[in-house]
Amino acid sequence: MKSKTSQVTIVGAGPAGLSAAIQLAEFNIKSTIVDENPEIGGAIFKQPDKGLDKSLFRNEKTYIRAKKLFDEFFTYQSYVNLQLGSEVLGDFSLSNELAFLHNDKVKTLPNNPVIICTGCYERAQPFPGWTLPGIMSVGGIQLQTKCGNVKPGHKIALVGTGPLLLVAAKQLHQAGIKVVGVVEAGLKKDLIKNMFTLFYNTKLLKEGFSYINYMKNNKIPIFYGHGVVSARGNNELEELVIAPYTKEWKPIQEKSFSIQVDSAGIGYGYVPRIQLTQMLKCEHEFNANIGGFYPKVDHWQRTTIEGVYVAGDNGGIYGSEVALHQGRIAALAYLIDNKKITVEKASRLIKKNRKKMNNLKKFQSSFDNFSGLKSGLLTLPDSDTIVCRCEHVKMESIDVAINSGVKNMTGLKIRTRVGMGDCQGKMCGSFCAEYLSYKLGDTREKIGAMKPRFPMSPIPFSSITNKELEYEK
Amino acid sequence: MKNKPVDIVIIGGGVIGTSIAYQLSKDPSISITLIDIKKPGNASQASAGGLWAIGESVGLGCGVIFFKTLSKRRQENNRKPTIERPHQLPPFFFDFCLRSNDLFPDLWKELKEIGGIDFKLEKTGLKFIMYDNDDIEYARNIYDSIPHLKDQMEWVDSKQLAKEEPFINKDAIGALTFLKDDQVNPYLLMNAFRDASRVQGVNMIQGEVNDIKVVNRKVEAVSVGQNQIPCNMVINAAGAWATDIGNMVGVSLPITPVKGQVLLSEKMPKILKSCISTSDCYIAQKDNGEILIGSTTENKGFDTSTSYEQLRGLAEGATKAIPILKTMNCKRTWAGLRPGTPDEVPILGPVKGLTGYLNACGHFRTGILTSAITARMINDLVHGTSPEIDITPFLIDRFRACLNTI
Ligand SMILES: Cc1cc2nc3c(=O)[nH]c(=O)nc-3n(C[C@H](O)[C@H](O)[C@H](O)COP(=O)(O)OP(=O)(O)OC[C@H]3O[C@@H](n4cnc5c(N)ncnc54)[C@H](O)[C@@H]3O)c2cc1C
Ligand SMILES: Cc1cc2nc3c(=O)[nH]c(=O)nc-3n(C[C@H](O)[C@H](O)[C@H](O)COP(=O)(O)OP(=O)(O)OC[C@H]3O[C@@H](n4cnc5c(N)ncnc54)[C@H](O)[C@@H]3O)c2cc1C
Repeated sequence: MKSKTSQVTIVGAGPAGLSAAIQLAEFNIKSTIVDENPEIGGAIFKQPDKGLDKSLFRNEKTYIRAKKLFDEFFTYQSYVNLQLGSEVLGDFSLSNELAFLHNDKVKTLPNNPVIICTGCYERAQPFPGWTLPGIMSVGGIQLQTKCGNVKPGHKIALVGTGPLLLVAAKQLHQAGIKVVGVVEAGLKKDLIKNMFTLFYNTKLLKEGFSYINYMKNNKIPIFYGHGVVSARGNNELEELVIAPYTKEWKPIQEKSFSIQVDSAGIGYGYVPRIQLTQMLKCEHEFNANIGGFYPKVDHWQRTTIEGVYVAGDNGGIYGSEVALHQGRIAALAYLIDNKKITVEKASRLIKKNRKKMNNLKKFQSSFDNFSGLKSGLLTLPDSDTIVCRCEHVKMESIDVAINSGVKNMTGLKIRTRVGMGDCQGKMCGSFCAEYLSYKLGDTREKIGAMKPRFPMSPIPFSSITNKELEYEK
Repeated sequence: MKNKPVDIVIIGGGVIGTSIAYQLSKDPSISITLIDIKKPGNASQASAGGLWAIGESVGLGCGVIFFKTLSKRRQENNRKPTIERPHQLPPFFFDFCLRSNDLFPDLWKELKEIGGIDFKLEKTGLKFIMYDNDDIEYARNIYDSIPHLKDQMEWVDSKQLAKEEPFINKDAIGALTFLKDDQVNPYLLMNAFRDASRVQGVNMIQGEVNDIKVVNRKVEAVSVGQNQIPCNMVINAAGAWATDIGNMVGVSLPITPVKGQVLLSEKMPKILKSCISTSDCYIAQKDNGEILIGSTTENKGFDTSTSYEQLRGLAEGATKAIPILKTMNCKRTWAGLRPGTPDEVPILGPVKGLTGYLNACGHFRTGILTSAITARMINDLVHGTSPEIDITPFLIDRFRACLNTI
């Protein structure tokens, strides 16, 4: 039986969200997908404005995979109400609504049931000079290049950890930008191990090696076991100071050297985007290997709150392939909970996906992982380094707060104003919590996390007085 | 683990508990422990930081919405559309507020000296903005009812208002200014009390009090998890949760959480000199440029979620008063839990038949303002001297039904 209005809300149109919608549509269930971007695809398949442009994919295989997902999705389009350009701002729990901003108006949707597929953020890493213009996140620099803001002729370094540095380096190089070097905190053998996780299986490992070869062939040096110390420049980035890292990723200052660049992409890890599940009061657990706090789920991606499911990187960073499987599982959980399918049947349907997914997950956890960051990074800022950019909170203030007895994130926020700015701590929250935990020797559970509030991003006051009801009650 | 006995345990590290800790710690012969765990919705962190001694006593600020809710309810009941008189608190409460307000300049100096924190005491005044005849009548009522405070009030016509506050809606026909109703930064005030207390030797424990040991009607120890802290006296400054603490010693307190929602703007250049109250909301630009808009008065238990209709009501009131706000961003909203009492007056002092226990709770919508005087009164009680303001009307005794101790 077809119902006219959508029965499920999906937040996020990345691999996880799209595959959840497909799975639901296969069972005649209509859904509404809300995503802040103007196009579907999420982080990895981020689309250019007009359809799929092959040249923008990192390679043939990503393109094929994206195309396959999109094609499948579009065959089910009549089942999906796409609400793009719409950022979810939070929930109003008493009226059971999710609020989002679209065309400068606050709108709402029933928040139950909802599949949350919000992906991840890049983790911000403060170090002396990191706020200089010219320094961006790796994802940021990719985006800037796409939009044509980083022009050929620029001299750029990619610094951080993980295979995505190489992916970005190749993209930038192909766009005609001079890539001065790739600085990888891990050792070569770690990087190769991590290649597995990015390229899904051993067969694709060759593809991973092709990146290393690409660097070699194009004389782009890779500095393994090295990392950033500081950035210098008059009003903009001029040079980046690099040093070998110890096993704990502490820079060996005596051996530092500088490289002349005018831009740098920094990428030390990813953080699950859990603001929405936090607001919905789902229980969260902590695991540094998958990026930090993530919502606790059962075998079927059900959170601890009834009617709230999660899939994808926001449930722990496992990459896009796992996200695809989880999207299907979460959708099936909805179907089971609403008696559209029996558990037995759903289990049979998903058996293969589950097996693949578990292999991928096992594969990942057998390595220190993708974002197995080391504590040395926490020693990079000096006392004068700004940690919270919104509120201009310096490292020094954080140390003072700790010395005066601050024991957790709530305390740190009240003492220093970190996280009280426009971004509500999305940027500095992870670093601050890691630092507190490191200094106090307490677990991250004890340190806690930033608590998001409506609206998750700033909105004009006029949009609040302008609300329209998105659905008929 | 054995703990050495401390003289006094203060439960609750909001503005009331920290203010008391600061006052008491001036006497080095007492050893003090402050126990606090920040529960969602704790009031001091949620508050606006207004020192609106007259404003709040006559029902402006948070009170104006309280009053609106009340009069709407009454209207619904007897269907007579009447302009209500402002909801005023009794004279002793005025006195309590005004005296506390007077303490702030010295407090600012002391706390800055001892702990190093400047809690941003700003001389703003509070303006009640009037749009129509109802507003004028409402303000006139206030003005006439407190003749002894005339020198602290000033009528402002529309021209003068436009000059003093150029960003206020030009449709406003005037304002009534309360000249001494100023503001502080409530976070910094709490931090300042806490730091000064620490400097003066107060021991701080982060944890939740889950039991109080009472033997022969005398308080003997406070438990935080497995940890038992022997003491001679406990002070209940647990805000909206004070009832739980009361129950641990067999005192039933009529304190209930009263939810207040707030919106906060991004940082803006200084556009307001005064704090503003209209009949829809109050508006205060804080020291860092953020504009705070409050606040609702709701009985929703311990729920601390924000809700669309309420936020919209406040946003509409604020954008009406300050049209330029429409183009500015709202960056955060939240809800806090005021420790409400049936008569809106705090509950302070001892409980008959119970030794070693003092109430310091129920500060409802003026706890930031009255934290200073509260601490002095509690300090006097601890030292056995009679407080500078008569404690009688603040005692729990006024609620007969609550006298069923132990
Ligand atoms: C900058 C960046 C670049 C990456 N590049 C690669 C890469 O090249 N290769 C690779 O294998 N992996 C990459 N990843 C990892 C990648 O995110 C995952 O592998 C994969 O995309 C996960 O899919 P997902 O569906 O879980 O999340 P995503 O694909 O991230 O999709 C989540 C979607 O939800 C939207 N969203 C989140 N919160 C809200 C909200 N409140 N309101 C509305 N919409 C919201 C996001 O905008 C996004 O469109 C990258 C990650 C990031 C952050
Ligand atoms: C939106 C809003 C705006 C306001 N604006 C103003 C204003 O402008 N001016 C003004 O004067 N007042 C204002 N108020 C009122 C003022 O905030 C309160 O009266 C005051 O903060 C009460 O302080 P408190 O210390 O009693 O309570 P709280 O600040 O709530 O502190 C009580 C503390 O005790 C802790 N606690 C509770 N139980 C336990 C336990 N078992 N163990 C350990 N710790 C415990 C709590 O978690 C909390 O940290 C406002 C309030 C709200 C909600």
